[in-house]
Amino acid sequence: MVKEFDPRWMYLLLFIVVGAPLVRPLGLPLPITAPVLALYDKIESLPPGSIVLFEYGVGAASWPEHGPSNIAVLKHLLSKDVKIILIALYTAEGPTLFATKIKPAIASYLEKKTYGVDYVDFGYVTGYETAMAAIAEDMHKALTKDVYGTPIDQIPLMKNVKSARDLALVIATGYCEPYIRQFYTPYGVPVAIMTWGMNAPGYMPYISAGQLCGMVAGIRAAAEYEVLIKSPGEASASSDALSLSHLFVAILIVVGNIQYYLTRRRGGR
Amino acid sequence: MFVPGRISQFVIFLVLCFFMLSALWLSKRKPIFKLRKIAPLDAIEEVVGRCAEMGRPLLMVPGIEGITAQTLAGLTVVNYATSLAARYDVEPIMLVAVQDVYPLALENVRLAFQAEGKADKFRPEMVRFVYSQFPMATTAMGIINRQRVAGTVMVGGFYAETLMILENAYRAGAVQVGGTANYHNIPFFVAVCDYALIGEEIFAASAYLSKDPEQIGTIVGEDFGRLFLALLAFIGAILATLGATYGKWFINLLSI
Amino acid sequence: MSWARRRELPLFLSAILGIMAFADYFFDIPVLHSVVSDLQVWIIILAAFAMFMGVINLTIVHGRVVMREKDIIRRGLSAWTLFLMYLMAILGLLPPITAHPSFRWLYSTTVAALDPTVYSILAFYITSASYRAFRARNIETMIFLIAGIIVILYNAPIGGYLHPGIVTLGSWAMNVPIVAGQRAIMVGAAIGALALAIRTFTGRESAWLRAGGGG
Repeated sequence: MVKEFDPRWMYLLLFIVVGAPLVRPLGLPLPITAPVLALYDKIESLPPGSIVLFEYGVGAASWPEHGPSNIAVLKHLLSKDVKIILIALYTAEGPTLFATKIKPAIASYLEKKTYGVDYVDFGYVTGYETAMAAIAEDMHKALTKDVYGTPIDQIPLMKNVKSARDLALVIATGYCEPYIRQFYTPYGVPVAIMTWGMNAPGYMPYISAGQLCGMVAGIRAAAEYEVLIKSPGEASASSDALSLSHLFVAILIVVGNIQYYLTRRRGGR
Repeated sequence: MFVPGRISQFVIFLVLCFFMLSALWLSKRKPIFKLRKIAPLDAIEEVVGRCAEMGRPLLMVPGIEGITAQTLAGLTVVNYATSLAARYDVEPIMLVAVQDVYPLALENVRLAFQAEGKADKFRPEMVRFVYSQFPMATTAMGIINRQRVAGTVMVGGFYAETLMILENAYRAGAVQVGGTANYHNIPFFVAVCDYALIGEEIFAASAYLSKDPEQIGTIVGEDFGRLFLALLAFIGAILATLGATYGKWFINLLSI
Repeated sequence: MSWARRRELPLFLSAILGIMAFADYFFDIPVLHSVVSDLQVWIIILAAFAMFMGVINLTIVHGRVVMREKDIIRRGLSAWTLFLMYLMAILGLLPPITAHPSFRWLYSTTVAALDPTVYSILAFYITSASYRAFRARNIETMIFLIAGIIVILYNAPIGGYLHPGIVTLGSWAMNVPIVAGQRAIMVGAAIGALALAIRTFTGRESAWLRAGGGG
């Protein structure tokens, strides 16, 4: 049996490696990955007046992974001439976090837009995939009122938006499969996802099959998006910590193998 | 009549059903199929046995999803482990993070003790409801470290909480059987568990544990279904290699 | 009520309702759609009732600790858990439901802070698990180890600057072998879930419904 380090030493070192650059940023470089660039390009190529469904189902636990990407992508959308339908489907915490954390971060962008004309917020809608299917089929039936209680028929933006066929893009938080099933497969609406970094390898098949038109996975991808829109935020500040922590894990693996090799040479197993 | 874009899906669904039902029918007439060895399922007895030897509890989690296929597969495995625990007088602790699953899990544990003739030893707190992912994970970590569990059985739909529970149980010296069909969490189970069920293996648990020929038949039908889908992928790859037009034609055919 | 009856009724209901849900996915039948939509609402209502059972369970578990445990710290922590659970429930019911300032304050100062904190602990466990799992024991694990390090460095923003080959190799690994493996697992798991559904609908699978292993 290989004698192992006490993991608490590893945890302490990792804490320092992650914490130090947050206190004193190093300004390490950040290359842009293809799925992030694909979403940026997709939004850039949207014709003026396009309708985008933006699902902001951020949870408190997943805020560090989803929050910065939500803010960055929303900033990009709000800087373009597109209409945004905001909704939370993934988690009921979405509206609370939208009000307390996302809205203040995009306040300067929202000021230039008119509520009801350029964007509308439907808050949390229960039912997740069932709700998605209903929204895709008939928005006026599935979403009767906005978050302020205004009937959907009195919202100017929704006058010409009836179903998924009127959408140019769906950008969602969390898992992509339900959106692919309910928006891409039946209606051909391009879908992009803001997900956990851990899900990135798992979602590559959807990217290569064209079922996802872009992906912002985790805080690293959010930092890339912030670089693309030239608006550094929470994610950019964490980019150095991310670089160093990955490097630290790679070094630990090498050290672990050297230790393993030495123990085996001494006759251990 | 059909929802747009789902005709081809329905045809594929029918083909897969045909494979599974015909294999089930063949097995019903004469048991001809055998399943390969699935070591993690065989190891559950070892896990429970170790808990009995050490006089420590067994921790079980049937995933953190609602009533989904993965949760049902997870409940199948933990039900089996609960029966063994009842038989060998091991204290089972089952953690449930979703309210829909809780009544089902509670009733199953109660019935397991009843079936083993030990209804008097059943206590409702053997199944603990801790709402949502991370509170459940911290509860599991606390139980592992306080009660020094000797074994864990974690099968079902798991997410970010997986590694927190598995690593703590590893440090406590527990023997671990785990598995999920959530591909993003399979590496964690493989890296830390003593025995890991990978992907669809969790859905074969019931057939494997019961040795019921009809259930085994559907597993064989699954394999034919896989071959059929692999054939579709192969045809698609050939057509896409021949030219974009052919590839597009095939994609359009599958999007009807 | 006999065992057989107890099992057959839920299995019959599972089969009928499951087939209806399947049919609703494929077919555009308004009557079926409205029935399945109603069923979805029922699920939400049933889940809400199940939540009550969960609250009772938590009360029993922690109530017993408060009443019987000798360790004063454990008693205190259990009492605190019960107090917070009921406080959160009461504040959440104050009008406007779940939007009362006191509820929002409690949410943003406890849940919103604690949930990401627990999530972040994962980083520590990933580090120790990687340290242990990536060992070059033979040729296969050596390949796994090298691929793992390349993908870790590819995912680090700085990776490409350490060596340009990391981006090429990492990107190839992410787009070719990883995609192939993930697809195989996804397809396999989907067919496995479908087979489970068919076994359930045909009454062959009921092990999830009662204890005792298969059958």
